[in-house]
Amino acid sequence: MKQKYITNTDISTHLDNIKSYLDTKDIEYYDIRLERSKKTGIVVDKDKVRTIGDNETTGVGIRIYKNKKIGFCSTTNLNNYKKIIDECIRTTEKLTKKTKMNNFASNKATIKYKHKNFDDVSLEKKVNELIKINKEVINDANSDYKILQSEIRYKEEYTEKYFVNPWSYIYQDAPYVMIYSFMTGKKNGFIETNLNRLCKKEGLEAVGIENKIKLLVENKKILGKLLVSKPCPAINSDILLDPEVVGLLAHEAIGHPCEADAKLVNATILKRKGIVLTKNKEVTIVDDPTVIGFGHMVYDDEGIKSKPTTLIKNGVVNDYMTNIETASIENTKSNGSARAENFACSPIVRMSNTFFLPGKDKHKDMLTDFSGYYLKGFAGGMVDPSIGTFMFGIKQAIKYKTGEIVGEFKQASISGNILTYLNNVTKIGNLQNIEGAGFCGKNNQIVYVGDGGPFLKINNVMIGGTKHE
Amino acid sequence: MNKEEIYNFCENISKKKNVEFIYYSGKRASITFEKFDVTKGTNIESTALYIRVIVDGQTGCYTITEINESNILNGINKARNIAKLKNDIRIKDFGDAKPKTHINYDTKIKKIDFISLIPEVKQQLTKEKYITSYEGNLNKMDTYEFYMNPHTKKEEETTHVALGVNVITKDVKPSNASYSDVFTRAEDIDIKKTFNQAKYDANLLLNPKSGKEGEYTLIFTPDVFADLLYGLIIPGTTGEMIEKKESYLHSFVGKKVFSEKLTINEEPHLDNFTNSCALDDEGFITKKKTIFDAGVFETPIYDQYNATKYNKKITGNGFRVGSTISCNHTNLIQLSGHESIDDIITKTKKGIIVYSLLGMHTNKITTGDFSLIIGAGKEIKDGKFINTITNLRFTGNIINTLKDIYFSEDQKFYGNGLFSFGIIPKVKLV
Repeated sequence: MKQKYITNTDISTHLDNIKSYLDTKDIEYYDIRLERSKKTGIVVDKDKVRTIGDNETTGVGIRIYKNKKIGFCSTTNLNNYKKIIDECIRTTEKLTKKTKMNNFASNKATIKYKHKNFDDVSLEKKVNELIKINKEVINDANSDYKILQSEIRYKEEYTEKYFVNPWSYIYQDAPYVMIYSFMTGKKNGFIETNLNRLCKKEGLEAVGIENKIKLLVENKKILGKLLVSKPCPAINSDILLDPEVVGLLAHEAIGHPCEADAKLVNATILKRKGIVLTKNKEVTIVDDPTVIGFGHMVYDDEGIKSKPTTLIKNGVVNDYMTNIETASIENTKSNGSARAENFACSPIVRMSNTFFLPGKDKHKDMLTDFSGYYLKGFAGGMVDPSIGTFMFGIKQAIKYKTGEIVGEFKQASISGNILTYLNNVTKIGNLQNIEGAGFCGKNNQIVYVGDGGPFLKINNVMIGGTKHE
Repeated sequence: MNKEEIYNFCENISKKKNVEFIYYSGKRASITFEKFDVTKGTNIESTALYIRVIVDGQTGCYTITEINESNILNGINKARNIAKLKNDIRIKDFGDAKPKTHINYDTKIKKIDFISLIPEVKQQLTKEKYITSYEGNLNKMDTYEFYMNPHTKKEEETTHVALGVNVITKDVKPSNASYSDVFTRAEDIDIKKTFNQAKYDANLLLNPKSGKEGEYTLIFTPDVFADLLYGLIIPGTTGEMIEKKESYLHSFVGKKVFSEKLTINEEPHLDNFTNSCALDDEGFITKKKTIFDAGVFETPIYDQYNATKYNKKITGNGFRVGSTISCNHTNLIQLSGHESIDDIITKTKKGIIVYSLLGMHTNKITTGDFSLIIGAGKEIKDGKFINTITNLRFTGNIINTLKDIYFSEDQKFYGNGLFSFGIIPKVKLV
């Protein structure tokens, strides 16, 4: 069953018209990305429906390559394509640099993502289910603290993308679903909040009632822990990172510096292949869009078939994510890492699913005799790839002494320099979890990404808490 | 439909069908520069129509980008169906305030031919000692917006030019520095000045090394102070956060919370400011407000929903963000100090001027706790710049941290705000 729109758009006629117009222009290459999406958001606050937001967006993004110069234009008014193409050509002609671009995509494909359609369940039923679940969790008599607020933010998004260039026609659809549980609790005069989320590139099958309840129950449990935890001290210690935090480390500290566009403008400290980041040969980090994670894609936004890239192999910088432009400049072929937030953005080099590969250590063995802080749950991260400084927030820090828990803390952070941080990795777990999901921002574009990895033990690093010890 | 046809159609049915409309149309022309050249050009236009209805006190909204009569009517029906699903507090009606204030915008900036600015940008991309590359964008943004409901309406048309420059350098070690400016008047556009500031900062911040633990006077550039303000203070001032006790400020309404040197006003009617408006996006009058007065938290802001829910006065701060209305400030003006930044630096015995903080989005508004990293800073000893530092931890609670903050007389214009250098004495860094 197809998604229902209230707007009727004759996609193929629009594509034909735009293509025909571009064919009359004296340009070496063009690509057209026409997209149509429908988004629904529901916010339930306690037992009330606070917001229901619905929107439909259609638009087209057109890239041109004229006299070896790159221009991009987009519009939500599909009938206005001639005007914006002409404006774009005029701007592009004034650019001061010719850029090498070759090996354009030549693919024809229709990719329909198997999922349970969002329209299969009525909006009313979805709303009522969220109210029911929220009420049940708030009124749970077993809670040992007071829940002041419980808000569920539910979002579903269905996008259809058409990619056309002189040799390609690709159709891809993609369902995304995101549920956020935001809770505020109070105990012994202390107030705390926590956000727990479930983000999937899936349809309704990902958000059955049991998954929603699990999300809220987990959030309630974490909030209960945070309410009795002390603020984390700033201290040097051995640390054990859970897969969610390891995923963030892979994304922030390695992924961003291994984007080829950063390399071309000297904006990454990982500026050449062969840089040794650690002597630990088990450290291997990949970006893999073919894995069904939140950053999954079959063809990228330049029509290139996506494939995995091994960024760090056995502790050494091995490869970079590329798009057509960066690959052409480096005399190679794109590995399909070009992504755009939507039709209104030009595709740039982006990550997809970025993760550490598993090692040999059993999780149980990693905790035996462990002394230090076990860091769980991420709270955002950031990196300056040009100098290599990174930092990210951690929700929970559990202090261990010879394998026993001796304290629970909250709001920690880790930071360091990319060139030295992984040198202290001493153990890598043998089990991998790559279900991490996030929203990566770069050049004012947000894309959905996945991450993860195994448990990782790192010796003698600084934890930045909110208290000085 | 062109914008006049959309306006006329919406005006005709707004009263008949009791519907609120917000129409947005934006055009952005931009160029990207990389290394030493202007490498990419972009022309983007977008339009959207936000439709909101009230059915039995419940609001329903729907947003469309393909705007024609049929889709507008379908959107109204969809919005009505959405409203019927809601069981929240009842809204009486849309706002009925009539705009009294006229806001002036420079008309010359709209007429600037964007591509005429390209040669000037190229001229600034100079190959100088230590500079290995530039990256950044120059944008010109033209927006037109109308708001209408059965009782009132407004139209706004603004243009601004924004330039962001990142200068990448290498001496012994790689480093970089960024600087950006927003221009709302043609006569203020000074591309060379923005580039020169970025180049000056880049030269100052060469060869970063890990900073040493200790107690420092921290001097935040206006950019970094604005980051702190929007990351750790402003989000906690909305009525909803206060009423739900989700902001550390909830117990400080009317009380002193920060240094007496911190005064921040919201001023919605300033000429040539990008967020100026006479009415908010719910049909209520916008007003000048003191948010913090000499460190006292004076005014939480309420949109119509939260004012009704918590029995407070509507403050005219309901603005459309994407496809929903949320509570936001217009222009924020921080009161400047009386000393120049040069004099403040000269008097500093042991300090760091902070150019970037990493980790701002890890802050916790509920408690005010934060754990940040100085990404780039210049160490000051006896009034003189010495080392460039990085990777030094700045952690604590924002209430304690800002209890002694004071400000320079120098201020930077952000299009929707004016902020100074912020100085905090005796901060322990690890």
